[in-house]
Amino acid sequence: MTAYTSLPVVPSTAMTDLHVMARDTADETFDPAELISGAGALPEAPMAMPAQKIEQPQGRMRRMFSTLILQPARAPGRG
Amino acid sequence: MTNDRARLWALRGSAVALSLLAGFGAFILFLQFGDQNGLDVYDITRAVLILISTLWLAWGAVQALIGLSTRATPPVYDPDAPITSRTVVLMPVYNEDPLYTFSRLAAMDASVTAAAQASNTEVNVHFAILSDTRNDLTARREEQLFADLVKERKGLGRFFYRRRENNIGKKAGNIEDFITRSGAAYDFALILDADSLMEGETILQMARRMEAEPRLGLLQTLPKVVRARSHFGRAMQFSAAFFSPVFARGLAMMQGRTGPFWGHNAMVRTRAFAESCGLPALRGKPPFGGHVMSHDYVEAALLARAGWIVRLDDDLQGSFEEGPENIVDHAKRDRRWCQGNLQHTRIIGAPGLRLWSRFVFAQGIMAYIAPLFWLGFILCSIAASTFTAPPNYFPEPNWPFPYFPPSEASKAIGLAIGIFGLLLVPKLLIAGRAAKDGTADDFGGPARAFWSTLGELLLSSLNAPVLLMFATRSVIQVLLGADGGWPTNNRGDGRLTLGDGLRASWWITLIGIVGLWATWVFAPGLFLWLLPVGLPMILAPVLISLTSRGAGGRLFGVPSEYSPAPILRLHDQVLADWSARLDARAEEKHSA
Repeated sequence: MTAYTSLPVVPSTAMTDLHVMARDTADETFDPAELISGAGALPEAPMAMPAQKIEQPQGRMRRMFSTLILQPARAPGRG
Repeated sequence: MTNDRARLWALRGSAVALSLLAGFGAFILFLQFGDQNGLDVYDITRAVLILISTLWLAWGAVQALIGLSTRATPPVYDPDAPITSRTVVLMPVYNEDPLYTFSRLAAMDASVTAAAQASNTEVNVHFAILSDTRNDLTARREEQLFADLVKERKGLGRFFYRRRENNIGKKAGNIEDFITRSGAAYDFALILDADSLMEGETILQMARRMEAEPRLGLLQTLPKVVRARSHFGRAMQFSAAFFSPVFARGLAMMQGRTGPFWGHNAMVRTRAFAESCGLPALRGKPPFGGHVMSHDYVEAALLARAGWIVRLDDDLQGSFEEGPENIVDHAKRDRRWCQGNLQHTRIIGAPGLRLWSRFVFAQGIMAYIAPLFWLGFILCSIAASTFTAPPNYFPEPNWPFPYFPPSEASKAIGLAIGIFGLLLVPKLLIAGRAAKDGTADDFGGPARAFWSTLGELLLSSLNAPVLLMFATRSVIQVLLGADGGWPTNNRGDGRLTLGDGLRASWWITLIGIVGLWATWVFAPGLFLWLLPVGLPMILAPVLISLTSRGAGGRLFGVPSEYSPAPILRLHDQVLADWSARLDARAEEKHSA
């Protein structure tokens, strides 16, 4: 048996029982479109996520190098 | 520097030093071997290629050795503490069948509820499905099944669904969209993949660990691959269950505060994630520019840069994922990862990153370019045999007896044994320890685990040349500027016919035939050495097809097969219920 050493043991039947009980007592039906635009829509609780600096600014040498290396061929323009 | 930091850097330094020692040992041995007829440019080139390749292999072996030296232990915290935080489980989906993905959420919700009841804890765990699905038919099915999910789990106010109009930034953009819209409602977000499954107890323990360490920005679990059915999939599943925990242990020992993020089955502190992980598009066009593809490594590095702890808790069980079932799907996934990792060449120099984060980027890049060094070595060896003059057995014009240069073949053989040793020994040591400490019992007993180890070594050796060719093609495509896009993962049974195999790998077969023919004609002395590489290449379509077939039996048996975790059994049941209900609904519609 795999030992779930750091986790207190939850009897697996408890989960199954809960699933069966929930399945058998579910009576409310929802219209999918209404649900998704109403109670099932994500909560409005904005949080700022500022863009981080993840590249070195392009130096002169790098700019020169990037103009020298091969660029992928472009598709011919129309007209 | 504190004692802990000094110890950490000593361990990291020793690991790098050992790898360098192995690399330079191979380098010197090869130079001695090449020197028997005098060194030429081919010898020096090959020696450098051997140095880099051996260094890379040795790094993996050293990680395993470090992993074998300790056991995973939980951090100091109270596993029964009440949970006051709010957690949201995020499941980004992208064209996957919602029957499989949403039923996982139903199982996880039941599991969380059971775990909370067992520990008498009130918990606040919500679930959000973040759809980037482009297929309208799949999207409609998602909406219907979401309504079913909410109904069955009585989940009004706990389950949420959102579909983006455009999938800017792919998975990273999908998560970012959630954080910017709803992030303030939650303390922690558990990020999943569409094929992830986690025990409720594991989720609660992760929340407790996040609460216990306020500087912890991200907590990564070690997901086990489950439900593989093919020979290829089950071999990978065995490898992930039997070998990976030891390699992960080695990694965890060296992580310090800059652990890994593998993109899923990990919990983030929303505030830390929001303030540190906003990813701008990189300058230029894909494959090197544009949106960051392998965003997880970058997010881990950015969290560490901002002073947050990123930690892999490899003691946590109950974390699962599924893997590719055949070589072609594996190669497709690798193509995406290859592009993502090579894109990190643009980020490795980002200002303020921790040294270890830069080292992790370098490792990721190396993982994808390493096959090129082996290929270069093989090609260089053929060229050396073709263009180098044969030994002069009569160097003295007037001397009637031949002169035989000293043979250094023993050094070449020793070198080959050493390199294979770096690949084989860690796995054999892991099998040995598993037999000794009883871990092998979970894999069907020591004998079966040993045979599975040998089987995995054999299969991975056969597949290696084929995967090497796919990896080489990926790197070349990326370097030539081809963007691999973002294909949907195949999550079916993955069985491929011989025709499928041929369509995917005819070019490998062709290269194998031409390569072996050229070796036979121009460098016959190398023919036998290159046969183990060339033959699997020629047989690539057969290998691809055969290894994709369903595999039962006890070889490659893993704990999740011998004794499935509760969440796996529960998900099977939910899936069966849902499938039956959908079938009944379809029948009703049909008869109406």
